[in-house]
Amino acid sequence: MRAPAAFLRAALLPLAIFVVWEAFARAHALPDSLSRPTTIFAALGAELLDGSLFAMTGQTLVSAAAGWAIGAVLAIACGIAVGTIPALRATVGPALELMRSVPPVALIPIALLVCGLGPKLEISMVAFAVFWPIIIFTAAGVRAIDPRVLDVARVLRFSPGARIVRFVLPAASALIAVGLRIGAGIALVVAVTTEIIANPSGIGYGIAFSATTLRPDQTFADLLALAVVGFAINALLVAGERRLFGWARA
Amino acid sequence: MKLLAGLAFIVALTALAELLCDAHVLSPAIVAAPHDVWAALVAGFAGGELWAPIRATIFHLAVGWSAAVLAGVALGTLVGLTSAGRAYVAPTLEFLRPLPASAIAPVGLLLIGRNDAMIVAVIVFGAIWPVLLGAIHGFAEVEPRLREVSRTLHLSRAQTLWTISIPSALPDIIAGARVSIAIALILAVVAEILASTGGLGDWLNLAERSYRTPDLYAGVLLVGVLGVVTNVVVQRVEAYLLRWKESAAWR
Repeated sequence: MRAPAAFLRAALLPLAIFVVWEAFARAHALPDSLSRPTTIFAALGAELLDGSLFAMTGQTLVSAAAGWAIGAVLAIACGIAVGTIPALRATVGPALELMRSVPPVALIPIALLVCGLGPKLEISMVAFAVFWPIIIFTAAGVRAIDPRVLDVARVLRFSPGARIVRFVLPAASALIAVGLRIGAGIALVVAVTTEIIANPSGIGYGIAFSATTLRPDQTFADLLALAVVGFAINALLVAGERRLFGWARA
Repeated sequence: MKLLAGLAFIVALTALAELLCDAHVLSPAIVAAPHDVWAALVAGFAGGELWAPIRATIFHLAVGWSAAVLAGVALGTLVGLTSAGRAYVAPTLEFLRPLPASAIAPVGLLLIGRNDAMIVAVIVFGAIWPVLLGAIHGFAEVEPRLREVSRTLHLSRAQTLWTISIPSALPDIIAGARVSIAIALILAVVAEILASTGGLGDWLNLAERSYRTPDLYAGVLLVGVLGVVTNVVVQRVEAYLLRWKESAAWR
């Protein structure tokens, strides 16, 4: 199957949906709250032109990235500790398992009490949520290292810090990368969810605000933009991981 | 022994939180002391205020998740088994999948309003993806040798579906169902907060807004318990349904 043909085939269903949607909306067969494709694309164009869409998306992405980075650093550090020290793993493991099973969104009300509204709320929620997949994959990556590698490092009298930087981290990097990728997907979801429920900024708030103020065209336009952003981030991460760590898959 | 260390750590953490709260190091408006959370749980269960939100959330979860699994398997079978489905429908689904599902909640509010139907619809939309994509993948990636076997044995389409395609796709579908129950719980909480018509999400939101911090922590604890219980149940069901897999040499 040639690429342009595959692309045309892929675009057929969305196009058909838009045409039917438009036709029914023009015939007044749909509720006004569903808007219609031409109005939605006009709203999308307007938001693109006045820059508000970029501003909103930027706020969301900055919060998501900051929370992801903070959560990742903490999780990799804790993951190495838990992965290398069996006694620590036995002690904190059950507590971590319990904490992990609380859906992050349930903690938004608590985070709201602690942080108030603002970027701190969103960043701490994202950091908390991405912590779990990254610590799990880091610990798994560290535990999968051939013990002889670490024995060699010890025999060669590397300090504990040098052993971690020069042996543990590189050997566990492929699995850490998987955790980071999964975490990045979660970061976007949690950032948007926090914006919808509590924090008045970013594209999540744009979607929630336009929905409550009965501007369905903007709601769907923002939703479409968010789908594109989510798709692009996902594609970038998958490609990046494959490029950097394709060797580990064999 | 290992379990003992883990339990001791949890008890120590709780005791530490209790000490810090009693010494007023942590503000009682932000962190509820463990004994207050316990009292809130006891009062909520004894007085009956907690049963209604728990029942509502379990109801939303059960209806939304089972609808998502059924719809996901049905649609996934159609798309995964037909080459037209794979060429024309699968790309759109792949495009929609990374969309944060909670973003659909305001749209649900707009189109359906504040009620149970909206909460269930949001859960279905968000929780369908892992099952749907698992089914598509499972049906599309049937071991080629088994296809040849079915052709050699002159099996009918229905026989091939029942004896080869379904068992081959089942592990992917069930793995998807397990992921989607976790997503369903998240979306139940989000949609309940937005709809404010009952459920644990609504309970959390109201407790936070009125600074009933012990009630808030009790609610978070219950959501966590619900997460653990649903996960364990689905894992058990998965192990039971896939008990034949261990002995299957071709996988």
